Amino acid sequence: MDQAPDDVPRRRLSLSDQIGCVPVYVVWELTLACNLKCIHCGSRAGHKRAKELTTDECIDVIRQLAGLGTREISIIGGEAFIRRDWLIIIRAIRDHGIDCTMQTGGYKFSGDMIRAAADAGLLGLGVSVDGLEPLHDRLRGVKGSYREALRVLGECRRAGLTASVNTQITSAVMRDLPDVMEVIIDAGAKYWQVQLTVAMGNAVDHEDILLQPYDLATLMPLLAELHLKGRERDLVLLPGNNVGYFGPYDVLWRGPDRGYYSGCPAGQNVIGLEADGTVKGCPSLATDRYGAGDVRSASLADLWATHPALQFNRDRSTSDLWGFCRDCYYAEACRGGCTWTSDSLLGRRGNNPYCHHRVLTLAERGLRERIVKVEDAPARPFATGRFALVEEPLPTGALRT
Amino acid sequence: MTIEGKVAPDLVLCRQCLRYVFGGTAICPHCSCDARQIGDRYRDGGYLAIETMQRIDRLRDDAAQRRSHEGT
Repeated sequence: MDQAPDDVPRRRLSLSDQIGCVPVYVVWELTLACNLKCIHCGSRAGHKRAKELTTDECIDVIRQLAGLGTREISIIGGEAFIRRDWLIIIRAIRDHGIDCTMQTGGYKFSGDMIRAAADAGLLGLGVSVDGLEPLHDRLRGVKGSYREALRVLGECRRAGLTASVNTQITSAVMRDLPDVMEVIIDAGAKYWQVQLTVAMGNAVDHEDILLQPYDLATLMPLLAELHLKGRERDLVLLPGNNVGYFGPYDVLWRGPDRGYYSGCPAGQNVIGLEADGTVKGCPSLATDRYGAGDVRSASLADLWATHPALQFNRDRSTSDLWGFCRDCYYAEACRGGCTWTSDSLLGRRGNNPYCHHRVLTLAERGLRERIVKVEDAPARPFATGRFALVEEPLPTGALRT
Repeated sequence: MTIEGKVAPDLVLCRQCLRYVFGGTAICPHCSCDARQIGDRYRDGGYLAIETMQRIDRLRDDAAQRRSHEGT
Protein backbone atom coordinates (compact mmCIF):
# COMPACT_ATOMS: atom_id res chain seq x y z
CA MET A 1 0.00 0.00 0.00
CA ASP A 2 1.24 3.46 -0.81
CA GLN A 3 0.44 5.98 1.84
CA ALA A 4 0.89 9.67 2.42
CA PRO A 5 3.53 10.71 4.95
CA ASP A 6 2.75 10.25 8.62
CA ASP A 7 3.73 13.68 9.87
CA VAL A 8 0.52 15.31 8.72
CA PRO A 9 -0.71 17.10 11.87
CA ARG A 10 -4.37 16.09 11.47
CA ARG A 11 -3.34 12.45 11.37
CA ARG A 12 -1.53 12.56 14.69
CA LEU A 13 -3.39 10.58 17.30
CA SER A 14 -4.56 12.06 20.57
CA LEU A 15 -5.28 9.98 23.64
CA SER A 16 -9.00 10.32 23.01
CA ASP A 17 -8.51 9.13 19.41
CA GLN A 18 -6.85 6.00 20.73
CA ILE A 19 -9.26 5.32 23.58
CA GLY A 20 -12.31 6.11 21.47
CA CYS A 21 -11.01 4.17 18.44
CA VAL A 22 -11.66 7.10 16.11
CA PRO A 23 -10.95 6.10 12.49
CA VAL A 24 -8.86 9.21 11.92
CA TYR A 25 -7.25 8.04 8.70
CA VAL A 26 -8.92 6.17 5.86
CA VAL A 27 -7.26 4.71 2.80
CA TRP A 28 -9.76 4.08 0.06
CA GLU A 29 -9.19 2.06 -3.09
CA LEU A 30 -11.62 3.89 -5.41
CA THR A 31 -11.12 1.37 -8.18
CA LEU A 32 -8.94 -1.64 -8.85
CA ALA A 33 -8.55 -0.54 -12.48
CA CYS A 34 -4.98 0.53 -13.20
CA ASN A 35 -2.90 1.64 -16.18
CA LEU A 36 0.35 0.21 -14.77
CA LYS A 37 1.36 -3.44 -14.35
CA CYS A 38 3.54 -3.35 -11.25
CA ILE A 39 5.31 -6.58 -10.45
CA HIS A 40 5.18 -5.77 -6.72
CA CYS A 41 1.48 -4.89 -6.59
CA GLY A 42 -0.16 -6.55 -3.60
CA SER A 43 -3.68 -6.02 -4.90
CA ARG A 44 -2.83 -7.31 -8.39
CA ALA A 45 -4.54 -4.17 -9.75
CA GLY A 46 -5.40 -3.94 -13.43
CA HIS A 47 -9.09 -4.57 -14.05
CA LYS A 48 -11.87 -2.95 -12.05
CA ARG A 49 -13.71 -5.07 -9.50
CA ALA A 50 -17.02 -6.66 -10.44
CA LYS A 51 -19.24 -4.47 -8.29
CA GLU A 52 -17.46 -1.24 -7.46
CA LEU A 53 -19.42 1.34 -5.47
CA THR A 54 -21.56 3.82 -7.39
CA THR A 55 -21.08 7.57 -7.01
CA ASP A 56 -24.06 7.82 -4.65
CA GLU A 57 -22.75 4.95 -2.56
CA CYS A 58 -19.34 6.63 -2.34
CA ILE A 59 -20.89 9.87 -1.17
CA ASP A 60 -22.85 7.98 1.47
CA VAL A 61 -19.62 6.33 2.65
CA ILE A 62 -18.04 9.78 3.00
CA ARG A 63 -21.02 10.96 5.03
CA GLN A 64 -20.68 7.95 7.33
CA LEU A 65 -16.94 8.44 7.74
CA ALA A 66 -17.46 12.10 8.65
CA GLY A 67 -19.89 10.90 11.33
CA LEU A 68 -17.27 8.57 12.74
CA GLY A 69 -14.72 11.39 13.04
CA THR A 70 -12.46 10.69 10.07
CA ARG A 71 -10.05 13.57 9.42
CA GLU A 72 -8.22 12.41 6.30
CA ILE A 73 -9.07 10.16 3.37
CA SER A 74 -6.33 9.09 1.03
CA ILE A 75 -7.68 7.84 -2.27
CA ILE A 76 -5.73 5.15 -4.06
CA GLY A 77 -6.28 2.47 -6.69
CA GLY A 78 -5.55 0.75 -8.89
CA GLU A 79 -5.39 4.27 -10.25
CA ALA A 80 -8.05 6.46 -8.66
CA PHE A 81 -8.39 8.92 -11.54
CA ILE A 82 -9.55 6.15 -13.87
CA ARG A 83 -12.95 6.44 -12.20
CA ARG A 84 -14.99 9.03 -14.06
CA ASP A 85 -16.41 10.47 -10.84
CA TRP A 86 -13.07 10.84 -9.00
CA LEU A 87 -13.33 14.64 -8.88
CA ILE A 88 -16.90 14.45 -7.52
CA ILE A 89 -15.61 12.17 -4.78
CA ILE A 90 -12.71 14.52 -3.90
CA ARG A 91 -15.12 17.44 -3.70
CA ALA A 92 -17.54 15.46 -1.52
CA ILE A 93 -14.71 14.55 0.86
CA ARG A 94 -13.74 18.21 1.23
CA ASP A 95 -17.39 19.28 1.57
CA HIS A 96 -17.65 16.97 4.57
CA GLY A 97 -14.67 18.71 6.22
CA ILE A 98 -12.26 15.84 5.63
CA ASP A 99 -8.78 16.33 4.18
CA CYS A 100 -8.29 14.52 0.89
CA THR A 101 -4.96 13.23 -0.38
CA MET A 102 -4.22 10.89 -3.23
CA GLN A 103 -1.59 8.32 -4.20
CA THR A 104 -0.82 7.76 -7.85
CA GLY A 105 1.55 6.08 -10.25
CA GLY A 106 1.24 9.27 -12.30
CA TYR A 107 1.04 7.57 -15.67
CA LYS A 108 -1.14 9.61 -18.08
CA PHE A 109 -2.08 11.96 -15.23
CA SER A 110 -2.23 15.26 -17.11
CA GLY A 111 -1.58 18.74 -15.77
CA ASP A 112 -5.22 19.67 -16.43
CA MET A 113 -6.40 16.72 -14.35
CA ILE A 114 -4.07 17.65 -11.50
CA ARG A 115 -5.25 21.26 -11.51
CA ALA A 116 -8.87 20.06 -11.56
CA ALA A 117 -8.13 17.86 -8.53
CA ALA A 118 -6.59 20.81 -6.69
CA ASP A 119 -9.64 22.93 -7.54
CA ALA A 120 -11.89 20.16 -6.22
CA GLY A 121 -10.06 20.29 -2.89
CA LEU A 122 -7.23 17.78 -3.12
CA LEU A 123 -4.53 18.81 -0.64
CA GLY A 124 -1.61 16.58 -1.49
CA LEU A 125 -0.47 14.07 -4.02
CA GLY A 126 1.89 11.16 -3.44
CA VAL A 127 3.66 9.86 -6.51
CA SER A 128 5.35 6.47 -6.69
CA VAL A 129 9.01 6.47 -7.71
CA ASP A 130 10.55 3.06 -7.23
CA GLY A 131 14.05 3.58 -8.57
CA LEU A 132 15.90 5.29 -11.37
CA GLU A 133 14.40 4.99 -14.85
CA PRO A 134 15.36 1.42 -15.85
CA LEU A 135 14.39 -0.11 -12.52
CA HIS A 136 11.23 1.95 -12.08
CA ASP A 137 9.96 1.11 -15.56
CA ARG A 138 10.75 -2.56 -15.05
CA LEU A 139 8.96 -2.70 -11.68
CA ARG A 140 5.99 -0.66 -12.90
CA GLY A 141 5.69 -2.74 -16.06
CA VAL A 142 5.31 0.24 -18.43
CA LYS A 143 8.08 1.98 -20.32
CA GLY A 144 7.91 5.72 -19.79
CA SER A 145 6.23 5.49 -16.39
CA TYR A 146 9.31 6.95 -14.64
CA ARG A 147 9.32 10.09 -16.75
CA GLU A 148 5.59 10.45 -16.24
CA ALA A 149 6.01 10.23 -12.46
CA LEU A 150 8.62 13.00 -12.47
CA ARG A 151 6.48 15.13 -14.75
CA VAL A 152 3.57 14.78 -12.32
CA LEU A 153 5.76 15.98 -9.44
CA GLY A 154 6.45 19.14 -11.42
CA GLU A 155 2.75 19.56 -12.23
CA CYS A 156 1.96 19.27 -8.51
CA ARG A 157 4.27 22.12 -7.71
CA ARG A 158 2.68 24.28 -10.40
CA ALA A 159 -0.81 23.41 -9.11
CA GLY A 160 0.14 24.32 -5.52
CA LEU A 161 -0.24 20.79 -4.23
CA THR A 162 2.13 19.33 -1.65
CA ALA A 163 4.16 16.77 -3.55
CA SER A 164 5.36 13.64 -1.86
CA VAL A 165 7.08 10.57 -3.21
CA ASN A 166 6.51 6.97 -2.18
CA THR A 167 9.23 4.46 -2.82
CA GLN A 168 8.94 0.72 -2.51
CA ILE A 169 12.13 -0.68 -1.05
CA THR A 170 12.96 -3.73 -3.12
CA SER A 171 16.21 -5.64 -3.16
CA ALA A 172 17.17 -3.87 -6.39
CA VAL A 173 16.55 -0.27 -5.31
CA MET A 174 18.97 0.02 -2.39
CA ARG A 175 21.91 1.10 -4.50
CA ASP A 176 19.68 3.59 -6.37
CA LEU A 177 18.35 5.34 -3.29
CA PRO A 178 20.90 8.19 -3.02
CA ASP A 179 20.37 9.06 -6.69
CA VAL A 180 16.60 8.75 -6.37
CA MET A 181 16.76 11.30 -3.58
CA GLU A 182 18.63 13.77 -5.78
CA VAL A 183 16.10 13.32 -8.58
CA ILE A 184 13.01 13.82 -6.45
CA ILE A 185 14.46 16.87 -4.69
CA ASP A 186 15.09 18.41 -8.10
CA ALA A 187 11.53 17.49 -9.09
CA GLY A 188 10.10 19.40 -6.13
CA ALA A 189 9.19 16.67 -3.63
CA LYS A 190 8.90 17.77 0.02
CA TYR A 191 8.19 14.38 1.61
CA TRP A 192 9.64 11.00 0.80
CA GLN A 193 7.98 7.96 2.29
CA VAL A 194 9.80 4.69 1.97
CA GLN A 195 8.21 1.33 2.56
CA LEU A 196 9.42 -2.24 2.34
CA THR A 197 7.84 -4.26 -0.45
CA VAL A 198 5.62 -6.87 1.16
CA ALA A 199 5.18 -10.50 0.19
CA MET A 200 1.69 -10.17 -1.24
CA GLY A 201 0.06 -10.59 -4.66
CA ASN A 202 2.42 -9.99 -7.57
CA ALA A 203 5.41 -9.61 -5.24
CA VAL A 204 5.04 -13.27 -4.23
CA ASP A 205 5.32 -14.20 -7.92
CA HIS A 206 8.58 -12.20 -8.08
CA GLU A 207 10.06 -13.04 -4.70
CA ASP A 208 13.56 -12.08 -5.85
CA ILE A 209 12.55 -8.41 -5.42
CA LEU A 210 11.84 -8.88 -1.71
CA LEU A 211 14.49 -7.84 0.79
CA GLN A 212 15.88 -10.48 3.05
CA PRO A 213 15.39 -9.52 6.72
CA TYR A 214 19.16 -9.29 7.20
CA ASP A 215 19.31 -6.60 4.48
CA LEU A 216 18.01 -4.18 7.11
CA ALA A 217 21.52 -4.12 8.58
CA THR A 218 22.58 -2.31 5.40
CA LEU A 219 19.36 -0.46 4.61
CA MET A 220 18.75 1.30 7.90
CA PRO A 221 22.10 3.14 8.15
CA LEU A 222 21.61 4.18 4.53
CA LEU A 223 18.12 5.56 5.28
CA ALA A 224 19.53 7.41 8.29
CA GLU A 225 22.21 9.00 6.14
CA LEU A 226 19.66 10.00 3.51
CA HIS A 227 17.30 11.36 6.16
CA LEU A 228 19.99 13.71 7.45
CA LYS A 229 21.06 14.79 3.96
CA GLY A 230 17.42 15.32 2.99
CA ARG A 231 16.78 17.57 5.98
CA GLU A 232 19.49 19.94 4.78
CA ARG A 233 17.69 20.23 1.45
CA ASP A 234 14.09 20.60 2.64
CA LEU A 235 13.12 16.99 2.02
CA VAL A 236 11.62 14.98 4.86
CA LEU A 237 12.34 11.27 4.57
CA LEU A 238 9.80 9.31 6.54
CA PRO A 239 9.52 5.61 7.17
CA GLY A 240 6.33 3.78 6.30
CA ASN A 241 4.59 1.65 8.88
CA ASN A 242 6.69 -1.38 8.04
CA VAL A 243 10.07 0.32 8.41
CA GLY A 244 11.34 -0.07 11.95
CA TYR A 245 11.44 -0.76 14.78
CA PHE A 246 13.21 0.82 17.75
CA GLY A 247 16.64 0.58 16.21
CA PRO A 248 19.33 3.22 16.78
CA TYR A 249 17.97 5.45 13.99
CA ASP A 250 14.29 5.46 14.98
CA VAL A 251 14.85 8.67 16.90
CA LEU A 252 15.74 10.42 13.64
CA TRP A 253 12.38 9.94 11.97
CA ARG A 254 9.96 9.05 14.73
CA GLY A 255 11.10 11.25 17.58
CA PRO A 256 11.31 13.27 19.61
CA ASP A 257 9.15 15.58 17.44
CA ARG A 258 6.85 12.82 16.26
CA GLY A 259 6.76 10.51 19.27
CA TYR A 260 7.61 6.85 18.74
CA TYR A 261 6.30 3.81 16.99
CA SER A 262 3.28 2.62 18.95
CA GLY A 263 2.20 -0.43 17.01
CA CYS A 264 -0.11 -1.17 14.12
CA PRO A 265 -3.12 1.17 14.11
CA ALA A 266 -5.28 -1.00 11.82
CA GLY A 267 -8.84 -1.20 13.06
CA GLN A 268 -8.17 1.20 15.91
CA ASN A 269 -7.50 4.46 14.07
CA VAL A 270 -7.33 3.34 10.43
CA ILE A 271 -9.91 1.98 8.01
CA GLY A 272 -9.18 0.49 4.61
CA LEU A 273 -11.89 0.35 1.97
CA GLU A 274 -11.89 -1.73 -1.18
CA ALA A 275 -13.64 -0.44 -4.29
CA ASP A 276 -16.60 -2.79 -3.82
CA GLY A 277 -17.19 -1.50 -0.30
CA THR A 278 -15.32 -4.21 1.61
CA VAL A 279 -14.09 -2.83 4.92
CA LYS A 280 -10.76 -3.75 6.53
CA GLY A 281 -8.65 -2.39 9.35
CA CYS A 282 -5.94 -1.49 6.84
CA PRO A 283 -6.29 -1.37 3.05
CA SER A 284 -3.37 -3.73 2.48
CA LEU A 285 -4.41 -6.62 4.69
CA ALA A 286 -5.39 -9.94 3.13
CA THR A 287 -9.11 -9.74 2.34
CA ASP A 288 -9.83 -13.37 3.19
CA ARG A 289 -8.54 -13.02 6.76
CA TYR A 290 -9.31 -9.36 7.49
CA GLY A 291 -12.40 -8.48 5.43
CA ALA A 292 -14.98 -7.09 7.85
CA GLY A 293 -18.13 -7.10 5.75
CA ASP A 294 -19.08 -4.38 3.32
CA VAL A 295 -20.88 -1.07 3.36
CA ARG A 296 -23.78 -2.42 1.31
CA SER A 297 -24.75 -4.96 3.94
CA ALA A 298 -24.32 -2.89 7.11
CA SER A 299 -23.55 0.63 8.20
CA LEU A 300 -19.91 1.56 8.69
CA ALA A 301 -20.66 2.48 12.29
CA ASP A 302 -22.02 -1.01 12.98
CA LEU A 303 -19.12 -2.75 11.26
CA TRP A 304 -16.59 -0.53 13.01
CA ALA A 305 -18.14 -1.16 16.41
CA THR A 306 -18.79 -4.87 16.21
CA HIS A 307 -17.04 -6.78 13.45
CA PRO A 308 -14.45 -9.19 14.90
CA ALA A 309 -12.03 -8.64 12.00
CA LEU A 310 -11.55 -5.00 13.13
CA GLN A 311 -10.98 -5.66 16.82
CA PHE A 312 -7.56 -7.31 16.95
CA ASN A 313 -5.54 -4.21 17.84
CA ARG A 314 -7.88 -2.46 20.22
CA ASP A 315 -6.97 -4.14 23.50
CA ARG A 316 -3.24 -3.97 22.70
CA SER A 317 -2.87 -7.55 23.83
CA THR A 318 0.45 -9.28 23.27
CA SER A 319 -1.16 -12.72 23.13
CA ASP A 320 -0.89 -12.82 19.31
CA LEU A 321 2.90 -12.46 19.44
CA TRP A 322 5.12 -15.43 18.67
CA GLY A 323 8.71 -16.19 17.72
CA PHE A 324 11.26 -13.47 18.44
CA CYS A 325 8.57 -10.80 18.92
CA ARG A 326 6.94 -12.65 21.82
CA ASP A 327 9.94 -12.17 24.09
CA CYS A 328 11.14 -8.83 22.71
CA TYR A 329 11.81 -5.95 25.11
CA TYR A 330 9.53 -3.76 22.97
CA ALA A 331 6.67 -6.29 22.70
CA GLU A 332 4.08 -4.17 24.51
CA ALA A 333 4.80 -1.05 22.48
CA CYS A 334 5.45 -2.56 19.07
CA ARG A 335 3.29 -5.68 19.11
CA GLY A 336 5.07 -7.17 16.12
CA GLY A 337 5.08 -4.04 13.97
CA CYS A 338 3.17 -3.94 10.71
CA THR A 339 0.42 -6.57 10.69
CA TRP A 340 0.31 -6.58 6.89
CA THR A 341 4.01 -7.41 6.62
CA SER A 342 4.11 -10.31 9.08
CA ASP A 343 0.70 -11.75 8.29
CA SER A 344 1.31 -11.74 4.52
CA LEU A 345 4.73 -13.31 4.89
CA LEU A 346 4.08 -15.99 7.49
CA GLY A 347 0.30 -16.40 7.34
CA ARG A 348 -0.09 -15.15 10.87
CA ARG A 349 0.48 -11.78 12.53
CA GLY A 350 2.73 -11.16 15.51
CA ASN A 351 6.19 -12.21 14.39
CA ASN A 352 7.96 -9.76 12.10
CA PRO A 353 11.49 -10.54 10.89
CA TYR A 354 11.71 -7.15 9.11
CA CYS A 355 12.83 -5.34 12.26
CA HIS A 356 16.12 -3.53 12.75
CA HIS A 357 16.20 -4.14 16.52
CA ARG A 358 15.69 -7.84 15.85
CA VAL A 359 18.34 -7.97 13.13
CA LEU A 360 20.88 -6.29 15.42
CA THR A 361 19.99 -8.49 18.38
CA LEU A 362 20.36 -11.65 16.30
CA ALA A 363 23.64 -10.38 14.86
CA GLU A 364 25.02 -10.00 18.39
CA ARG A 365 24.30 -13.72 18.77
CA GLY A 366 26.00 -14.46 15.43
CA LEU A 367 22.68 -15.19 13.67
CA ARG A 368 20.53 -13.87 10.87
CA GLU A 369 17.17 -14.72 9.28
CA ARG A 370 16.33 -15.50 5.68
CA ILE A 371 12.96 -16.04 4.00
CA VAL A 372 12.21 -18.83 1.54
CA LYS A 373 9.00 -19.10 -0.49
CA VAL A 374 7.16 -22.35 0.09
CA GLU A 375 3.76 -21.56 -1.40
CA ASP A 376 2.60 -19.31 -4.26
CA ALA A 377 -0.16 -16.73 -3.87
CA PRO A 378 -3.48 -17.36 -5.65
CA ALA A 379 -4.39 -15.12 -8.60
CA ARG A 380 -6.70 -12.74 -6.75
CA PRO A 381 -6.33 -9.31 -5.12
CA PHE A 382 -4.52 -9.14 -1.78
CA ALA A 383 -3.68 -12.83 -1.91
CA THR A 384 -0.85 -14.18 0.17
CA GLY A 385 1.51 -17.09 -0.32
CA ARG A 386 3.59 -18.60 2.41
CA PHE A 387 7.22 -18.13 3.34
CA ALA A 388 9.40 -20.07 5.75
CA LEU A 389 11.74 -18.27 8.10
CA VAL A 390 15.22 -19.77 8.27
CA GLU A 391 17.61 -18.85 11.07
CA GLU A 392 21.22 -19.37 10.13
CA PRO A 393 24.72 -18.37 11.28
CA LEU A 394 25.81 -14.91 10.24
CA PRO A 395 28.38 -15.33 7.44
CA THR A 396 31.90 -14.31 8.29
CA GLY A 397 32.42 -10.65 7.46
CA ALA A 398 28.69 -9.79 7.47
CA LEU A 399 27.58 -6.61 9.23
CA ARG A 400 27.21 -7.16 12.96
CA THR A 401 26.12 -3.69 14.00
CA MET B 1 -22.38 0.95 21.60
CA THR B 2 -19.23 2.28 23.27
CA ILE B 3 -16.00 1.39 21.55
CA GLU B 4 -12.98 1.36 23.77
CA GLY B 5 -9.36 0.98 22.81
CA LYS B 6 -6.21 1.02 24.87
CA VAL B 7 -3.39 3.49 24.50
CA ALA B 8 0.23 2.73 23.74
CA PRO B 9 2.61 2.48 26.71
CA ASP B 10 4.80 5.45 27.52
CA LEU B 11 8.27 5.37 25.98
CA VAL B 12 11.04 7.90 26.51
CA LEU B 13 14.48 8.34 25.06
CA CYS B 14 17.49 7.18 26.98
CA ARG B 15 19.46 10.42 26.88
CA GLN B 16 22.76 8.58 26.72
CA CYS B 17 22.26 6.26 23.73
CA LEU B 18 19.10 7.87 22.22
CA ARG B 19 17.27 4.55 22.08
CA TYR B 20 13.70 4.25 23.31
CA VAL B 21 13.05 2.75 26.74
CA PHE B 22 9.84 2.38 28.72
CA GLY B 23 9.01 5.34 30.95
CA GLY B 24 10.45 4.86 34.45
CA THR B 25 13.21 2.52 33.27
CA ALA B 26 16.14 2.65 35.69
CA ILE B 27 18.87 0.88 33.73
CA CYS B 28 18.88 1.29 29.95
CA PRO B 29 18.79 -2.18 28.34
CA HIS B 30 20.88 -0.88 25.44
CA CYS B 31 23.75 1.11 26.99
CA SER B 32 23.37 0.03 30.65
CA CYS B 33 23.46 3.64 31.88
CA ASP B 34 21.25 4.95 34.69
CA ALA B 35 18.54 6.18 32.31
CA ARG B 36 16.44 7.79 35.04
CA GLN B 37 19.30 9.82 36.48
CA ILE B 38 20.52 10.97 33.07
CA GLY B 39 16.93 11.84 32.09
CA ASP B 40 16.53 13.94 35.26
CA ARG B 41 19.83 15.69 34.58
CA TYR B 42 18.72 16.38 31.00
CA ARG B 43 15.52 17.98 32.27
CA ASP B 44 16.94 19.83 35.28
CA GLY B 45 19.94 21.12 33.37
CA GLY B 46 17.60 22.98 31.02
CA TYR B 47 18.45 20.87 27.99
CA LEU B 48 14.86 19.72 27.61
CA ALA B 49 13.66 23.32 27.65
CA ILE B 50 16.32 24.36 25.15
CA GLU B 51 15.40 21.51 22.84
CA THR B 52 11.71 22.39 23.09
CA MET B 53 12.44 26.03 22.22
CA GLN B 54 14.49 24.89 19.24
CA ARG B 55 11.63 22.71 18.13
CA ILE B 56 9.17 25.62 18.36
CA ASP B 57 11.55 27.80 16.36
CA ARG B 58 11.86 25.10 13.72
CA LEU B 59 8.08 24.74 13.43
CA ARG B 60 7.68 28.52 13.17
CA ASP B 61 10.30 28.65 10.41
CA ASP B 62 8.55 25.82 8.57
CA ALA B 63 5.18 27.57 8.84
CA ALA B 64 6.65 30.86 7.61
CA GLN B 65 8.29 29.11 4.70
CA ARG B 66 5.01 27.37 3.82
CA ARG B 67 3.15 30.70 3.93
CA SER B 68 5.71 32.29 1.62
CA HIS B 69 5.36 29.35 -0.81
CA GLU B 70 1.59 29.78 -0.78
CA GLY B 71 1.98 33.46 -1.49
CA THR B 72 4.05 32.90 -4.63
